[in-house]
Amino acid sequence: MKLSQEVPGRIERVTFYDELARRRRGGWLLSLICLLISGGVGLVLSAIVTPLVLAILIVILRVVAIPAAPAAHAGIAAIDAFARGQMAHFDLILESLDKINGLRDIGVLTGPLVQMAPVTVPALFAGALVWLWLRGLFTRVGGQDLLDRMKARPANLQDAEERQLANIVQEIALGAGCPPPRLFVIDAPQINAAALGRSPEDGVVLVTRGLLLGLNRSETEAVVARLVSAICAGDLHVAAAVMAVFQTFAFFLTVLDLPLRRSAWRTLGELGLASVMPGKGAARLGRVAEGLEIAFDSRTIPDMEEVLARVPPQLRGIAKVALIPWIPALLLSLLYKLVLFLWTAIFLGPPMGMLWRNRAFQTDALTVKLAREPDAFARALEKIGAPDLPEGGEAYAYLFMGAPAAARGAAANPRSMTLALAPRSTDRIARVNAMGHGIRRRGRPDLGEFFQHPIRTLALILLLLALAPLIVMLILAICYITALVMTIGLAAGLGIVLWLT
Amino acid sequence: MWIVPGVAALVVVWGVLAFNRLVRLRMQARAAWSQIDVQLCRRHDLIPNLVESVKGYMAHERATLDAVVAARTRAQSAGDDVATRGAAESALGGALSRLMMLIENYPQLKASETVLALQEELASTENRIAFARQHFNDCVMTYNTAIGSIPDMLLAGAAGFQPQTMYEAEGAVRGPVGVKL
Repeated sequence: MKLSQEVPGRIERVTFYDELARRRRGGWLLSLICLLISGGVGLVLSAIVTPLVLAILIVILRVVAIPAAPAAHAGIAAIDAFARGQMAHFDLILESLDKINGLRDIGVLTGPLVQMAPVTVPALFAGALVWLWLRGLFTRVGGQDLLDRMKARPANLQDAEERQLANIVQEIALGAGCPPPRLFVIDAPQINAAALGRSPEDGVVLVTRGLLLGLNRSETEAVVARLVSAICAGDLHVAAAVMAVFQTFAFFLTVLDLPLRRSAWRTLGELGLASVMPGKGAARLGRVAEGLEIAFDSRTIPDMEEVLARVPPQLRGIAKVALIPWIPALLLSLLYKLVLFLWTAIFLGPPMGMLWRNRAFQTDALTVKLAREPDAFARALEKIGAPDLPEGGEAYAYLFMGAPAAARGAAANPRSMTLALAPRSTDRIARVNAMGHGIRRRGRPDLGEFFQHPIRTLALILLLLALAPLIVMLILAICYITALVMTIGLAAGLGIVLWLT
Repeated sequence: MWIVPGVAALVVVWGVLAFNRLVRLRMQARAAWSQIDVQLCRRHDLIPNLVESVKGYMAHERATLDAVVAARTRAQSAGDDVATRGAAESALGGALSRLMMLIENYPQLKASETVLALQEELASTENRIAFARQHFNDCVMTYNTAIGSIPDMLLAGAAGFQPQTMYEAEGAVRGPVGVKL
């Protein structure tokens, strides 16, 4: 027997609280990063957002200027001068475009493009502000909306299973030193659970009936520990921050879609109403969340066909002619979506996905620190697997412990962007198993082990070095495409602004 | 010339912040201790009910039942000292777990709704005690680490912050286990 080899001394334990405090600080840092990324979204969209912001400012100033306030006139004059200055830079870019005879001459553009940089500043701020606004709105009302939608009910203490669950929640909250979260049950057969709430004080644990019946006591305990850890460590803040980045993104896309589809008007209208009357806006906010997600979809063209289909057949020819002025708007919208997706896929998405996945893994580790049963936790994760979401939870997939795997990577699904951020459940189980008695089965090749072989490392470095010029070229190309698309859109936008002044 | 008063002001600000932090940590540990107390009392309150419901069936186990009741009385009068209280409570825990094992031998008891509910409550209470102890020990560890590390050590010594005792589980492993096969 080899039992004696595994007699550990007193286990050095970083307390749950030290870990918790560190992760709360980390949460703030992540929120800040999300804010910056939202600013980045604004930056990419500055060609649209800057003229929009300026136009709104002018309209406001015009209204103020009716009682002849000199300051308002001065403001309009300043915006006019700013727009004219940027237009002059645009002329410079057009001139330098004439000088280009081949790919090699593309450097000529750099100077004028850099000179146009100030034009991105209003958009940068607008992106950050929209992020703050959406995050605030959705954290205030989002949880209640989800509870309403899924027809969740408070736990029934007369029922033996739910009584046990209530006991478990109390136990775990004691261990975590948090106030016990409120407990809701959904009568659905799927095995799934979610945590909601703004702060540890008003945390909510949401569990399906299927989970109660399918998991034993220690597994349920691990799941509850995961949810309570997420609530206490401020993961919900981080989730809201990450979601708000996507919603900021979708918000601007929706604004872009305004000339093309009616649902964009409806979504923005409801968003406005929900912000003005946050008190009873839970259901409305849910509709807003869904409406914003449509923006990620390419449903704009079907919408136009729908318009045509409603026109009586004999008038259809005339309607097609009448729609011609919309074609530039359509093209612009498509071009922007292309640029945006390039940027998300290459610069914004991967770092955010990495941060979010790491956060999930850390919370799993924290769960093991709290409930101290890695094996039960791994079993619970395995049983949860990748279930369908209970009805009504589709817009809030990121709050659930298990999300449907089918949606992942499916470009057709508008929600794939948020779901793609979630770690694969096999990876999570592998990591949790490594903390218990199981052997770590790797979900994917482990980089740490890979780099232990010097020859492989050397080969990889050489390969990367060889590929480096190519990668740099690719990034530069994307930057140039963005800059050009932006300048064209900007010229049009600034033209409108000048016309308004 | 501004350097000396500046540094002095910084030291004072640090002193106030560090002192408040230590006070907060000490209060946390005390609150955690009272949580354990609440859970232990909850267990005391459950015992008469349990004994009452199983007494009729378990006439032959008089000794075990009496042991549980006696251990409960001792634990209730153990006072506030962490070590004595801990010993009395873990004796009660041992007596209870023997009783629970005996209940497993009585099919009529295992089928009874009341006994099942009581069993769940007791199991939950045991868990709560364990978690409350973990919470208390975590708090004490954070506090002890804080008053033992530089620079808070200097302040803690001057302001009379004493290290606190952890709540050790009685009968826990205190060294390598000898396995005889």
